[in-house]
Amino acid sequence: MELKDFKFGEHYTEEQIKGKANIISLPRFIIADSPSTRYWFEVDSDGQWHLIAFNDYDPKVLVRNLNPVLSEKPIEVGIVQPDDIKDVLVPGELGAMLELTVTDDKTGKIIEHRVMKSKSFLQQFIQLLYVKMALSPTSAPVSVRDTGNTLRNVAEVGKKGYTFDTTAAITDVTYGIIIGSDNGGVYPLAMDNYKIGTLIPNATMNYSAMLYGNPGGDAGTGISQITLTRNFTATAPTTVNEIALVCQAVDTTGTVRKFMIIRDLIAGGIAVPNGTTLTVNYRLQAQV
Amino acid sequence: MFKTILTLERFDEDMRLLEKRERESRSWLKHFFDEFYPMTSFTQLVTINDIGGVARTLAACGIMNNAGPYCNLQVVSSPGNTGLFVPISQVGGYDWNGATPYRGEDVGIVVGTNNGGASPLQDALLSKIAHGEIAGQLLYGGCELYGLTINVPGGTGQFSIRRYFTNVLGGAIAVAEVGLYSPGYNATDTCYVFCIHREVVAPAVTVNNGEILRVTITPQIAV
Repeated sequence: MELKDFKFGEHYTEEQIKGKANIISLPRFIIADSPSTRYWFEVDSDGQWHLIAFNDYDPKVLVRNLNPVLSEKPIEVGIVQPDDIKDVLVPGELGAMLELTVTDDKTGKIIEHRVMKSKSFLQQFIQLLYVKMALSPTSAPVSVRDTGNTLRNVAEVGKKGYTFDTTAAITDVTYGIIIGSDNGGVYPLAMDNYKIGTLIPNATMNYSAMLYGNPGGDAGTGISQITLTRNFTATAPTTVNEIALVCQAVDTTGTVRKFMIIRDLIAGGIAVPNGTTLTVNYRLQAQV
Repeated sequence: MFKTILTLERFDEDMRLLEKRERESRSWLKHFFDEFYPMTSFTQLVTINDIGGVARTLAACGIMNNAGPYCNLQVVSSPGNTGLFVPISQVGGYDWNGATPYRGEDVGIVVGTNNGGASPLQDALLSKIAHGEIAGQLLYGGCELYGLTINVPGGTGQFSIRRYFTNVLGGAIAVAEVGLYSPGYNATDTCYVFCIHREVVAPAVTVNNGEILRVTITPQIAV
């Protein structure tokens, strides 16, 4: 049985539901994700599970398609507040969720909101993680390709501690979260990507400084995460087709270099009209 | 996509393989992100418990060329009961928590006997096996990193973290949890150790007298 085959008014066992991918288990609820839809199940006093709602991935729309039989029943929405509903990875996976929000700057209205799984950690990420975990000395550096297509010898140079720094300032398009217009036609997505395909300049989409959310963890969901955020304000209608995360690290000469560690293509692109702001959140997550 | 493979191999004293288990690892903890956070944000502070349950503030580098979270996420380590230092100065100085170096068995892969449930908020193994040669102890070898490989056509990349544990004179020991301990930078040229990964091993792997346990943790990425 696939998730789409679950029906309102039917009884199910926990095993029937949990055989699916991407499950969050709460004391009374199970949240199960198919590729396009999120399903909500609640257990009754007899231990039977019922489908109570399903919706798309927009966490602001929690109870669309609510089971009409249960609609009169008070729902403990406190359990399913948006902040509690994280877009999960497969249990055990460490990864990133990418959240895109387009907001009208005059009205504050959200025009578009998408949450998707970031798919593309690049070779520079695993190389720099190795440098950190091995405390690679300058006598045994790792050769990593920077955003200028030059191989750099990277090591943990004493007292620098620069590896993975993403603190780009306002208007800085060289690192932090950056955006582009290439949908993969110019620069196909691959493990060895080292730069964004076609950078959208600050003149077209005003880059804010990088922002950060404190590390958080939740024993109930088993999820821990940190959030990296950047805002882009359109000065002209723009379609964003790619998003990347670029960090800094120090090479063995003591020079700060830039390395792209994640690149995601946005299927269909995301339109950002003039006078609106695109907010990009990279949520680095793990689930136990 | 980022996943981690945990491999447990048990050998007799002649290094003949007796048992091997391999599966996806499940448990990167919040402290992994706590150690990553000061590095990526560069100016942010976070206060968390170290493996001793003591609250410590992790700091970021505020003054370039002066200090920084250089040791965060380090898991490479010397063998047990050897002093472990990290370099903090480009002119050859070494230190760790003042004049007191940590022991090798307190950084890198560690093992324990308690199979209590995993939580992302755990600060340490529930019952870490001590380094030593008497009953209930294991000899901790050095924790090494190797095998950094990138397969561009295949769209994969990985490296491995590995440590040997030897049961020298003790009775049988049931290893029921595996963890990764890593130092984090504490602003004043000191580091403290935090648990960034913990894995429940069920059923436990029993390491008998004279046997060797090899634990390998392999982070992998795929596009």
